[in-house]
Amino acid sequence: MILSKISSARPLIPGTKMSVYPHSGSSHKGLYPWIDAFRCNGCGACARACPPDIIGFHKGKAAIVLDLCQQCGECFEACPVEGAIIFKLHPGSAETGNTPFLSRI
Amino acid sequence: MLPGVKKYPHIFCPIQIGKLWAKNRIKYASTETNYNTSDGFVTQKELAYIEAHARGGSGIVTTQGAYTDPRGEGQGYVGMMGIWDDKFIPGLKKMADIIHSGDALACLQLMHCGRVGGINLPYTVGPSAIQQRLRRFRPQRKMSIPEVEECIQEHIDGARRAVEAGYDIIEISGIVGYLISNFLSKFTNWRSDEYGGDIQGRCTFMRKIIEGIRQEVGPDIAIGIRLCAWEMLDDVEGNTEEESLESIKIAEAAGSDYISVTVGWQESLGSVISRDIPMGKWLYIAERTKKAVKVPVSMAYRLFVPEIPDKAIASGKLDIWEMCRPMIADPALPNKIMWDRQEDITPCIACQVCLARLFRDAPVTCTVRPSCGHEGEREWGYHGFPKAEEKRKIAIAGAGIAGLQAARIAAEKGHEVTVYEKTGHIGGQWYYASRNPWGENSDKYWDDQEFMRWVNHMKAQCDKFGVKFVLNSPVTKELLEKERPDSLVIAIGAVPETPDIPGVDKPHVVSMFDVFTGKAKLGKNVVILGGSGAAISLMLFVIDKLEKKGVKDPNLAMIDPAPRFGWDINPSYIWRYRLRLKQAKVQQLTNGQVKEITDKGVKADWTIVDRKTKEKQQFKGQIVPADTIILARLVPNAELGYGSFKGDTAMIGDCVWVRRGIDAIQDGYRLGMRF
Repeated sequence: MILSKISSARPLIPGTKMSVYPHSGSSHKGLYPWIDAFRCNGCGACARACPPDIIGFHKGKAAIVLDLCQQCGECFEACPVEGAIIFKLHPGSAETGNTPFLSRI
Repeated sequence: MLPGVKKYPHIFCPIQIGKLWAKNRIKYASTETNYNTSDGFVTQKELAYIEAHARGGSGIVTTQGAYTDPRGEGQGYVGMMGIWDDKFIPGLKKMADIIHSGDALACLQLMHCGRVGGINLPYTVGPSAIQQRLRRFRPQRKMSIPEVEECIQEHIDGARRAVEAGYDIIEISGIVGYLISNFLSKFTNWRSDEYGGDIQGRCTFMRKIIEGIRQEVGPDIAIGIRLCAWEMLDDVEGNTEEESLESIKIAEAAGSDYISVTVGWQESLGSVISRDIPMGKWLYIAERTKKAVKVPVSMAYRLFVPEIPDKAIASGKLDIWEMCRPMIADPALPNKIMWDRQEDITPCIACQVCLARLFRDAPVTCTVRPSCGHEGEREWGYHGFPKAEEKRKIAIAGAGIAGLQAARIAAEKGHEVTVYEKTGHIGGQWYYASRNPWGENSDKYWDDQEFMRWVNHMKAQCDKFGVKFVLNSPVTKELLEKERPDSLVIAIGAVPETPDIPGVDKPHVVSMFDVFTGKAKLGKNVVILGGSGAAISLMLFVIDKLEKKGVKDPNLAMIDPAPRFGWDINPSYIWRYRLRLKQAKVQQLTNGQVKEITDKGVKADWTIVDRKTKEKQQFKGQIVPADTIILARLVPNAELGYGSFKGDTAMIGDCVWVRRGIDAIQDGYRLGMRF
């Protein structure tokens, strides 16, 4: 699907949906789970699958406490909706090229 | 000759400013954005934003105001540009080069925010210590004479740095409560030394700055100034219009090459730039200024369509068409006018979200253009979206603003989009909101057309990219089975909630949308069940309707469980809405619970809390007389949900959760980006 291509900023481990990028332990590096609020139907599969149990619900949509995220990818595996959880780079990280506030010219 | 140039020859006529020539008479006015770092350095985000304007085709592009003092007293916004040290020159130079690359004159604005400044300080400075009228601003401190002289020198140094960075025009800002206007106004300048006194004395500060800059930069650089031509501060003894005109004449005599006139202060009690002001209302002020001075006069403020300024320039009321909000909404506006592609212009609806965001120390965004502030980020697609690799068939349920925006982006990416709409019109809630009694021009007073301008623009864009519209056709299971789309977008918006109370099925209980379209008849006494922004706008509509019918002393009331009504309305609008409700004697029954609807009225409990004394007044089981009861508590429309389609389903807009128009458009845009 096209939607998964958005998250393919990093190569994946063959046969899995996991990134080869080493899990750093900090959600501000590497890929982090991001919920497409328009596609999340609030079924709760990700919350049940999350090992550190940091996924809750707000306005009927899944919400992740990113600081405590271990970036294991279980939520991605559990989610039944294509494109509702995407592993992607932090929007402010240097790899995305979108770092508007970091540059002091 | 390009079609737009033929149609609006006066706008595209070159104009001389000082010794420079601008290619046309459109000036992008100085706009604070809060995109810069809090210590005043220009960021990539700001550069990308300015680049969009430089490529847009206006003759003069003004940067946002730059504060001139190292103490931060002049800094009125957290992301304001600084020019108080040579270390800022490289960033400013980049900006000037970008503006020059668009073949426009680069204009830098020097701005000391004075009374409304000192964002990171516990105080503000000014000619005298005058109490603030708005809660946002900090107490004012009187400047001593050495401080005033230092401030003048800082302005001159700022101008020198601007010239070093390559700017052609130096503009000084003396409007809406900034330092120069503080010195000019009788309201804030109570000094008895050389910087105060009569209008000549009060203008000394401004005169010294202009003369000093002229001496510093030489005759080749143009100097302009923005001044208030009417302060609208008559209730606190502000300048009279004659005094303001006198100050403009003094600025011209001191060496200003053009005058940009404005109306009103941040502290004035009238509305100046909002939607209830008809377009072109303030042109008489420009005309009066133009009669008094010889240099070009420019003006912004409610000139959103090219017809009005073109006519004004032709008849000698105006020289330069200045624009700020219309060009936030669409930076490419001058080029689109030049090619006479007016249906492509994203129209500003004067919603004041940009201004409200500035005052909340947030970066500027735009309701009608979500890519505002993301011009440099490719996925936001300001400079166009790339075609998608895989063409999909997308069905969008609902042609409201969220659905239209999503359809436009998806279609631009090359997908096959069909929009299904249950009713016979597009625009959703904005179609109803356009019936509100605020108007673009006075002869169409009943019709708030500016909403429909955006809807029509979006429809034209959708048509351009080949979106199919199917009206009067709700999305059903059969339809989905027949059409078999790859994706379903649910954008069916909100519906008025039908409360579970006895008597709700009586004939005098009507939906708010029926009231807007005129399907439901209004009685003399009206009760609205609701207190959100939509309910208040409905109440304004009802007040207007009853006034036009000539109904004397109607009994109007609003009931909602909320402690205060209009919680979601923009602060630029809420105060005048509250004033209007007060004038019409609307009872606001806060913390209310409706118990029963009878033929005579509504039986309800409510509690009114006095905001100052915190005194509670409880009412239990009271009857509010009503001939018409309008349901106006909007809740998400649950006709379609995630189960309705097996496959990629997305839900956007008010059917996720009821919010404002900006959120619906943002939802549509963000979803469109992900297709």
